[in-house]
Amino acid sequence: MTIHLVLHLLEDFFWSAVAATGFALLFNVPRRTLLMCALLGGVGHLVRTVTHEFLPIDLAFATLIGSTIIGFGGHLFARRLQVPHTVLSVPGVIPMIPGTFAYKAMIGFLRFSESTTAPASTGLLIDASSFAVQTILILSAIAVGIAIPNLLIFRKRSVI
Amino acid sequence: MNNSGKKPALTHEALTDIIDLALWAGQLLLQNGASSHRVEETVHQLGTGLGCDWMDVLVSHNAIVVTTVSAGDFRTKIRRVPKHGVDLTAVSAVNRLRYRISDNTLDPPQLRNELQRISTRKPMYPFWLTAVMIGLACGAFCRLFGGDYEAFALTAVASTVGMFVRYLLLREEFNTYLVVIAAAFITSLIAAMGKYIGIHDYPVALAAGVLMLIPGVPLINMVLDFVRGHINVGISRGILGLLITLSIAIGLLLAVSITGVPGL
Repeated sequence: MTIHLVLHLLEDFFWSAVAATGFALLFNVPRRTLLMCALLGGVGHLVRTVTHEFLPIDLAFATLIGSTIIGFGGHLFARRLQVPHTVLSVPGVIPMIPGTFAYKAMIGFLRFSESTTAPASTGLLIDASSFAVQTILILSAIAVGIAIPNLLIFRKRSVI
Repeated sequence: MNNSGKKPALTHEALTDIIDLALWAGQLLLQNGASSHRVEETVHQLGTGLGCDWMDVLVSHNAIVVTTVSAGDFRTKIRRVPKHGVDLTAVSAVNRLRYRISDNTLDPPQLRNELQRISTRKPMYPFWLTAVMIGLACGAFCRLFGGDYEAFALTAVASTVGMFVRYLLLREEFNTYLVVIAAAFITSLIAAMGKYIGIHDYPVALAAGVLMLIPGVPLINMVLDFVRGHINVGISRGILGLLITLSIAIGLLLAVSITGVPGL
């Protein structure tokens, strides 16, 4: 039971770190930041999984918590690695992208467009719309989480 | 700036040089995925650090306008930034120049050399490595979405091939949206083949495979721009992100309707 849980969380961390690293390469980050990108990706997604699965928190809000932690982590290590904080946090949040929700919304709308019988097609539309809203909410939570450290702590006045 | 007004007046040539360098740095930032605030701040700090009294910057989605002031004399210049990509090493390299300018350890000729070096630098990672790692990353998504290891392998192959398709088409200078549609189509087509070779979780591979094309940087920059008050650039970035996302959907749905629509 506990072993199962630990394995589940370890796997969650590992695959998120792999996803973050892949995108870090795609975004051509400096080599010295690769490890931190992977670490932030793993930790952020792990926080999301834990808050969503063990606390009564819905996925969008859990995503906000995860990406906020990644945002703070980015700021924390940006100075040391001499990079802008987004270099660390942007690859870090990538594992939280709601791929399945977006996919279900797309397929749902496609099925709705092909459906002709009235009550069934209404159900398809409702399902697809709900997935679409979830997708938008989670994507917004990801982006807002990165901006939160700027809003709360790093409020330095702009030079211009 | 606490010493504004006390700086010596710049010659016409010096002012031209500074405005060129500052615009170059701004262009490198904007075309490689920096937020508007960072572009504005960096261009301003480079200009004032090199001896201007003041520098005003207007960032748009595909152009930067700069007005620079020295001893009452002012000049304005526009630079177009037509191509957008993501290269965070370039962004961080330009960002570091800004600190060297404010430490006074960089003069205009050195800055020109540095910018030249950043502009002509080769990518940090060889393309094949990026393609393979992106394949693994999309496979990782497949595992996160609950797919088994067969689906993981399927996703990894599909996404790696999709990356090569994207690379080849981009090299031939095809339209951005067409490239995304084609890459999403090929990736999804390979993932959908899982149906015929008996991979049970192939719908998960379909959902995970195209995620490499997600416009993550424009979408995140959109929110960062909104928060900092760059509403107009934010809207442009949002529309770009939306169009790319729609292109992914078109490619995916084309492949899915050819091979038969699966559930998840």
